[in-house]
Amino acid sequence: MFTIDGVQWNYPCDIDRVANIKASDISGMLLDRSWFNDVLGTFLEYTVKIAVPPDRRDDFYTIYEKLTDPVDGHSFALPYNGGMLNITGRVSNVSDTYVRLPGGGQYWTGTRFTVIANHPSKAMNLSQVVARGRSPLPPESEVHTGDVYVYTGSGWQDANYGDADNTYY
Amino acid sequence: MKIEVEVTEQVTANLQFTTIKKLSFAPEADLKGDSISIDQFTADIITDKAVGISRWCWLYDDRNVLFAKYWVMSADHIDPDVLRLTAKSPLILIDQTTMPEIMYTGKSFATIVNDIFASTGWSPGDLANRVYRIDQSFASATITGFCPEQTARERLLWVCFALGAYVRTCFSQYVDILPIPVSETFIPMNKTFMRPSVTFSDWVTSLKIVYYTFRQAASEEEYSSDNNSFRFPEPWMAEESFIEITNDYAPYGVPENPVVIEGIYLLNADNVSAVISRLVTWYFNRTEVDLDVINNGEYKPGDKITVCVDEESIYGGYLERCDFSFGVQARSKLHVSAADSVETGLLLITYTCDDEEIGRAQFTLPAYYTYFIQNPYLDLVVQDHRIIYRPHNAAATGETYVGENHVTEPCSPALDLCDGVLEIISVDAVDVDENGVAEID
Repeated sequence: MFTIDGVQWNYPCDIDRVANIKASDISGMLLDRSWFNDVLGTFLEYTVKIAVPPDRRDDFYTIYEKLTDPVDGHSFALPYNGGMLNITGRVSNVSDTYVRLPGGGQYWTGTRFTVIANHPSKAMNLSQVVARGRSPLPPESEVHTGDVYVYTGSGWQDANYGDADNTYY
Repeated sequence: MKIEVEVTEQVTANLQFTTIKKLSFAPEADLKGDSISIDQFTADIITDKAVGISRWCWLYDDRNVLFAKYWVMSADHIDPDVLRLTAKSPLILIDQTTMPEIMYTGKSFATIVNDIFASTGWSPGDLANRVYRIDQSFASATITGFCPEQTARERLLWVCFALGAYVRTCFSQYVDILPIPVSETFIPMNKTFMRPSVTFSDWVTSLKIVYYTFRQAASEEEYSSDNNSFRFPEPWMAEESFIEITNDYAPYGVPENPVVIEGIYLLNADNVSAVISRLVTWYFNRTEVDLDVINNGEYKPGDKITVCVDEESIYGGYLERCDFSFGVQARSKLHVSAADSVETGLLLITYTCDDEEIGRAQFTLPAYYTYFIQNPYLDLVVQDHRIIYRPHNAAATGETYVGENHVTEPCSPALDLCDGVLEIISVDAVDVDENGVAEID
């Protein structure tokens, strides 16, 4: 399932996703032999392979004409982890294959297109780059020497078991 | 980057542009006294808006650090959606006015500079608040001598040359008139890109400066018989003297290449010694270094800097030009003039825990350099345990000497991370930021 310019298309599809972490031209090797990476942001690139049934040719033609419009970009809603991501992206190519069967049957198949996001889905501004620091741990006020925390994926959870008099063990 | 353009004097909200397609900015500072550059920036801005000329505009980075405040010279659409804006330093305006010949007899530097900028028609309010700023070290300086008819920019060059001042027109709301810097800024290797280049200009074998003593002519005959005579309105005579220094470092057999500076009638017995000792630096130090560095506005034209050329060589000189390229951060190609190699000290820091070495770092620094190097949290993995060590001291500090300098920085384990379980070994050893949040890398 995907959306192009606000129109949702519910056809079977395979979607390949590539996240390109792009750096600017000012990146380079420093004298201390470390690499200076001036990261512009994370740009997503989706390649969507759609399968429109032969009996829905009109839909196929509509999608094809929309994707091949010579415009700067379209708005897309595409799967992203557990949800959908709205991006404005440029269609870099659309390809498909024409099949003609014995007896005169004909259809287009194997349609795929690639969308490259015009804007980074993740980026840091200059202030964040300059001040970039370390991932947060539990608030200091809650921490005791000997405490044990477990990382849940999104944060640290206290795994201590304390009794009524606050003795930790 | 962001560009702000003044709308009118009455409208306080400036136009702001953040979609900049292309930007060139390469400010300079001449400390030698050859010329005062008119710096500029040119930007291709994605906008269909029109921008008027002859008004102020500002170039900022994304943190609102000011890079330049210049005067819009042209703003044309090269495409319906692309505006090419060219803005130059206010010195372009004083370059268009001519100042008459004049004899200064102890006139204050501040008054002369004010006259120079006022020649463009700026109001006293503009001059005081918006155009230029003189360093306090020149507050009581005076100028004596003759200036021929010249542009206001040349006049500014002459008076700055006589006093040892230079002009910088970037990273400031003002045209800054500053003293030649004495203290140095060191650019470390982790901010310098591969590979700096070192070039050498021809040897200058001697430097001769002609200076002048003025007296009123005894008669009209004496006045008219000498080329170095001026009338203001009385006839004045300029008597020439000179001071000369030979370059003792020039190798034997080098072709004679003397430099003679004459015809600057603001040089006199009072200031010539200071001028020649300053110029010796420029003419006898023949090394030039070109290098690229990460420069978010820390290094400015006119600065005295020391730079690493490789892991063993450091040069000190004056930053003459910064040619910027922009990404999220800024990188600039620096041209360092009047450079000379400086002695180096190798700083070796050993990080220890219970007297056992757990890490080390080394830095090539100028000798006799007061260093302040932040101690890192050491993040070591031993089998399944990731242990974060906290340094006892926030930074390693001290002074480097020629050769190897050994320093030990003690550390303690703070955190132990194993299979997604974090154990706090010592609360005291957990770093806490300003928001009260403990952090690790």
